[in-house]
Amino acid sequence: MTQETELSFEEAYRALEATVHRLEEGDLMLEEALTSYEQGMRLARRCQAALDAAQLRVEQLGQSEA
Amino acid sequence: MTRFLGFGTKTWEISELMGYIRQLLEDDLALQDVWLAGEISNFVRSAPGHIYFTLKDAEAALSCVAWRNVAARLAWQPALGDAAVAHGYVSVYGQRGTVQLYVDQLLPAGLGDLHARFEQLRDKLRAEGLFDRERRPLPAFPRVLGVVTSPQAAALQDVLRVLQRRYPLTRVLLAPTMVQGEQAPPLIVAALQAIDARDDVDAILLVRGGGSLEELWAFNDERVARAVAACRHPVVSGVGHETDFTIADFVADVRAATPTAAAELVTPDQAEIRQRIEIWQDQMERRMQMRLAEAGQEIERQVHSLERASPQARIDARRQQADELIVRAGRSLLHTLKLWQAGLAGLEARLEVLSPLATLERGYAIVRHEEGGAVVASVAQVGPGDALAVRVRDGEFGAVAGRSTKGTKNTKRG
Repeated sequence: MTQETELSFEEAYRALEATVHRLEEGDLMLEEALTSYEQGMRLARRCQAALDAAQLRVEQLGQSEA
Repeated sequence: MTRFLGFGTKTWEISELMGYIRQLLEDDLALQDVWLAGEISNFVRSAPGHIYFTLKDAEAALSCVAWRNVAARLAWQPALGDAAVAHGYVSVYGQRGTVQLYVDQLLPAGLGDLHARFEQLRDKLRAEGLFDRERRPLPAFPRVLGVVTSPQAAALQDVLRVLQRRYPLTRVLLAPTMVQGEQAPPLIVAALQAIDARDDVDAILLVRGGGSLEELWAFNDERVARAVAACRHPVVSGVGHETDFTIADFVADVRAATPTAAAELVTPDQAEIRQRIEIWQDQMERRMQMRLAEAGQEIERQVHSLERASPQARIDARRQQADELIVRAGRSLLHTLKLWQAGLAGLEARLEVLSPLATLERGYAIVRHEEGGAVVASVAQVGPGDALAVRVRDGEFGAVAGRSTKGTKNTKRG
């Protein structure tokens, strides 16, 4: 998996989704489950923080005149 | 031209002929889809609500009828002398022997013209397959959205408000353009192309607020339609209100009823995302607790079975057993050894006593025949003159047998 800090929101969200599924399947060793759990919680917080901090950005293209 | 009544030529009933003509007219597709322009004359609204009128120009006139259901939904109240455009199909009204236009749309001349152009372009582009091209899927989490609209319009504010509320992670690239008037179509095309040229755009919103047919007309322009179709990125159109359909709507990957709806279609709702994430957090929390509880039980089980089954435990147990055995063994072995020692000493002593050498020490001798070496243990074994070998403590000497007397105890051992 790529470095978590480089993930886009969508990638983090999808990774979180996948992690939840992996945990739900329940055939992980305890060690792997703990790692997944920690990773999932990190991803969840990351997504939430991204949404909290989000502010719509608007830029205008210069190519055509109004 | 010669006219004659030919024999065998059929004489028609009037109604039969009218039926025949009606069939001819109704089989002609061009006559089933007619836009007709003219001035309204003889305008009559009947008691049940049907409208009868005549459309005429300088040279000709045609009777028209709009049935009640059509008449009821006319937004326009036509009046005598108005220039109008009617749409409908041509057939005959047998009772009066007249050809009529059965109207399904009646519009003031300018608008009627637009409608006709709209339908012409729609049919043309549809025939080209422009409406059937494969629709591109919309992004689930758009990072960059292009918006093609007027920067001054309320539509843009509607779109931005929705984006800020639903998914403020997105970045908006506004390609400003005029959205109505003669100059609008080429500007819209240029804006679409400028946005579409960028690789980072996930989808393009082509939006404009509500307005009259004329005001929305730029979105029925063929150039705009072709530019939408040519976009690499998915285009969502949101022009006018729910009831307004434009050619751009037909070509777009997704048609939204309004600018607001377009912005909603192209973004996920962060309220739902947040809820989903919370559910997932709970789920992971519960799952982990379960997993830990399982692991705790498992560890306890393991410890128990380790205590029972591990080599260490076994070794410990064996060591203890061994210690006890050693202590016990220490005691019993010593005893046994002592017993053995004592036993050995006794045996040695007894062997000493039993050894023939010891007997010789005491002065006894062993007598054997010189020939054959057989031990002489009885007088019967010896005759006078037999050569004998006599073994004593420190050696051997020869002897010859003389007299013998039976009954002497001295020869008992030998």
